[in-house]
Amino acid sequence: MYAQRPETERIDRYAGPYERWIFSDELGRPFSFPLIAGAQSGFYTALMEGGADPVSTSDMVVRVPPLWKPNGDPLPVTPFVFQNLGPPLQRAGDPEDAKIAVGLKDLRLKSKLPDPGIVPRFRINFPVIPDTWVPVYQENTAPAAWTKPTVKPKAIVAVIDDGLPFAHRAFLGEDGRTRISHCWLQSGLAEPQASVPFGREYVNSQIDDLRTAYPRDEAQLYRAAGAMETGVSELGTHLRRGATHGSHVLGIAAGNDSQFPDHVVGDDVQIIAVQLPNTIAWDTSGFGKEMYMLSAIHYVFERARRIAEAHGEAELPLIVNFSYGWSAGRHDGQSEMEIAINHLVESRRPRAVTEFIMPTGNNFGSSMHARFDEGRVGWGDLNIGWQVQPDDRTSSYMELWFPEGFDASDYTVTIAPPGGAPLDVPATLHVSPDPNLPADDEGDPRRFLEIEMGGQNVGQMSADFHRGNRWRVMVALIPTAYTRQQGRRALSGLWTVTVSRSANARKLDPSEALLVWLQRDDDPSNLRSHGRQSRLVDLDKPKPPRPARAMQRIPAELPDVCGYGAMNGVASSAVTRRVAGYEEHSGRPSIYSGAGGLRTTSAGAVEAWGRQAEIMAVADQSMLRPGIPSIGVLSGARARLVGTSGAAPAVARMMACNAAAGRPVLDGCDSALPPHPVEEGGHPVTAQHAARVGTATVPPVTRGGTRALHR
Amino acid sequence: MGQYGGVGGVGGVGGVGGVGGVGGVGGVGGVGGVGGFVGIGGFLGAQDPGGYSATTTVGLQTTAEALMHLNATGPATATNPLAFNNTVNNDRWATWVRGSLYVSEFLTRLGYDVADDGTEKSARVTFDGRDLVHLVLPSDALLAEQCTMVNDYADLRTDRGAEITSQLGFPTEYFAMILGMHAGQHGNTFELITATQVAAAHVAMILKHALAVRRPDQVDGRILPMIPTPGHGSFPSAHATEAYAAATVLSALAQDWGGFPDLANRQAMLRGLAERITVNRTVAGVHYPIDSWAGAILGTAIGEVVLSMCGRGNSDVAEKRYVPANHDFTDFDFVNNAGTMGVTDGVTFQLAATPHYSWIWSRAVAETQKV
Repeated sequence: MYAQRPETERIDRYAGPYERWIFSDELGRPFSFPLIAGAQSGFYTALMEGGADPVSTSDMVVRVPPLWKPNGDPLPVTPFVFQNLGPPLQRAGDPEDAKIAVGLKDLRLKSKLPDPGIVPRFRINFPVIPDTWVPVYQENTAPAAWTKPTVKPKAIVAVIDDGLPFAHRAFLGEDGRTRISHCWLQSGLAEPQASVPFGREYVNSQIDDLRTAYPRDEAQLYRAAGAMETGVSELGTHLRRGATHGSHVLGIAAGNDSQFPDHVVGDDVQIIAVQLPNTIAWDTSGFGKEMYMLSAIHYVFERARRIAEAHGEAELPLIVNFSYGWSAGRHDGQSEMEIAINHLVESRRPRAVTEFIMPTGNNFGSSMHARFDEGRVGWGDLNIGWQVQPDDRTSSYMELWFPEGFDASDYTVTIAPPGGAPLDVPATLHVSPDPNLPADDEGDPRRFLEIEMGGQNVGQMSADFHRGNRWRVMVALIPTAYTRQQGRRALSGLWTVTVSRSANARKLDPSEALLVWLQRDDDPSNLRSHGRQSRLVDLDKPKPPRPARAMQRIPAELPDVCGYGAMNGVASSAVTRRVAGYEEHSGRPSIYSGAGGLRTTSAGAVEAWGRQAEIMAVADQSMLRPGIPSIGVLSGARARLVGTSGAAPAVARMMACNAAAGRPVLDGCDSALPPHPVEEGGHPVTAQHAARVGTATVPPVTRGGTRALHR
Repeated sequence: MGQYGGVGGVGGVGGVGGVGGVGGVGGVGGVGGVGGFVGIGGFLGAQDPGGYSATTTVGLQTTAEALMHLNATGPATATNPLAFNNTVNNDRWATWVRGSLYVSEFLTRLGYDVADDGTEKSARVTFDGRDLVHLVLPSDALLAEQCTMVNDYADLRTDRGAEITSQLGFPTEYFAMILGMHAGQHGNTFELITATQVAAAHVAMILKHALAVRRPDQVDGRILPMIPTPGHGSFPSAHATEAYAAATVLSALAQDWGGFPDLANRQAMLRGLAERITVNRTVAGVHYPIDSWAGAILGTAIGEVVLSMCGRGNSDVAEKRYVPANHDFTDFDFVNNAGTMGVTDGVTFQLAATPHYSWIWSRAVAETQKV
């Protein structure tokens, strides 16, 4: 049973419903990422909105990572990290949510800017492991050991990922020195002093020295470098694996190897790499990654500037690949991360070529998105089925978004467990501010409702006016298996989420819709989270066939639960290059490749909404050879990765080569993949096709990479 | 009825054939391929034809009856003797017979003793009366500590499952891969590898028996191994012992072959393979890292002993003592940091060559790639 907090100790005053769920003991905390569920580290990563510079208070020590602020202009979103000194609480039991809330109070007061009068919002992310907290942070410096590369760089390619094999021979230049200029392991073991606030930074000469010291044993090299350490959970021994996500992606983006014979990355392309905490994929909902992600991007921009300056340039062309994301979110470019990405890239583009590449995601066929327009919502109560699988040992999340600025006060959302099982109190949530919010509350308008069975919490419903302009309803459920020594679980099966409205409720305009996304919930990197993916079920309409296999045709009708709109939830910035994946052999989109949203107009035409896929690259060689090959962790090892994560870096590689040669970044691309011949002569599916393939196609970069067989 | 007995006897012959089938896996080339057999099983039945099939047996007898009338009558003529107690006959013996000879040569020189001074229990292996390896029994607390490391390795099971399950027996194919070996060209080398691994397995089993250490999954229920828990103690690891013994012998052999321009690379890979085979057993959940340390020490010593017995000139044997401590095992630490991780060096000595090991060594050296 959730205990109401004193007003001053409510984390939702400062942060959002995910933080309330993740950091509260009676809610999702026992089931969250092990680092959160275990002992409190006291060090947290966070984002702050509002334009001010986060500063230390009496309750917390604040550090700001290396930032790229060319003119000192304020940032819309600032990543920072803080040590919570543990201010006194009214509530007993050492509750983490309350400690964070009380700690943020003074920081918000100090960070309020009179103009334009913004009240800072926060996102509280993963804790930092004390072993990775740098004792003496030398802000605004860079390692003196960095040496100028022999060849003057004409472009920089950056990769942000996990498990990066930074000493791999694929990144050596002709002179035998590494082309990796800077590499920040965000969960690396801290040294006594460093130019990063946490983790470990390596620069080119240090990597070369390591290669010289350990010419025959790369595994020992990584151990000696502090890049492999069982005692540090977020660093761990991932580089002991044959391959990692990051080895594959970094190889395709910037490696020279026999697998990439036709697209050699020249010595005039330097590399910047950031290794996120290796366990960052544990929570596939995406919670807690943002500060690591945003500080990684700032680091890349900041170190790129230093490389340019060392060569007498203000900036150099910079291509950033970030093969990450999550599935839920606003999808309108206005999430904190998307605003931050947009600001950075737009600010840099006048100075030099700047590209930011992300994959569209792998959820096209996963029934994780639905769109309900007025025709559907006006029909009566809208029942949305949410199939939550048994033996799911992580929390499951659904987000339902109203249109921006939409007054949803006459809407309610009700959740019902499978099979008519009763809740202690029926769970019906009004999509409007809680009338009990104190008058001086400065958080986003919001309200919460606990989902409880047998006197125990099994879930949380929330409605929040996200970032002050768009209503979101979020439902969180605890695992469906008894796990982590907890005596509660959610029922598995078909939950029903019902959207109702009163007769005088605001109607949806023809272009508007209620948009639903489920968060991803699986274990792609074998991190033993034991997540299982839930899915949406359209309870009111039979499900039409979908183009699941290569030779199936695209159906003419758009179902409400469909893959169009199942797009990476961090990739909706206007500047982001969204990369979808296709099958090289057939020339068709990979069956999982995320797509832009589509809607049917009143005239019956299909048209796009929201950000669409832009560029295609090979994600699978064929139906029988899924994935594409790249390097593994150790020099000589190979790996195969299935998914749009492997397609995006092919675009980065090509753009980097083009930028270094002074060509337009998309030089050498084909136009959009044509529809497969099987679609010709049938019903018109031009919009459906375009939503998946975008406008340009990058040629294959891996061996055997003949041009795609379109016909 | 013929002179070879009645048809009724054939049924019995058929039964013998069945026994031959059990041991007769592979022949010489297949010595390494005796799936699942370790210890003396590495030689079990190699080149033992067993009996013929029932049909062939009957066919041979009826043919014999048909041919018998072509012989002259009278007593058989005496022949000259085979060389007496001489390895020149080794070529005539079936592989498994030579296996018995290698084992006998090795075991007659081997000894072991145990000590318990009240604070420390230990077991020591001697060879030709010289101290070889001295292993101190790990404490129960140390075993519990090591379980954390064993669990840390478990996420590699998906990566290495094929290696682990195909390395349950002697992983000879993995060594063959590094040295470009082929059954038709390197029969003697395969036999040398088996002789080495069999010797190593025997010594490991003696120490495992004496020290009697529980397996990780018998200490920590969360280990949940991916392969059967073996029916012998954990410390030292026999896989580590065998792998390091084989790597030691093959590294010397490859050098004496003289044919590899990239010898240093191959020798580095032999060490890397020994480490990999060793650590794979921790990944599988059946060995602590300290088992790997003990096995690597023991295996290296046995490899040196084998090279001495082979009469390879100037092959030194180094005495070692190991007091286990809570360290992970890597080949790098084994080579560079053993002194700070519980290993103490003793004296270095040389052993006399023995006839059968010398015989197989000279044959293996002749299988050089330098042709």
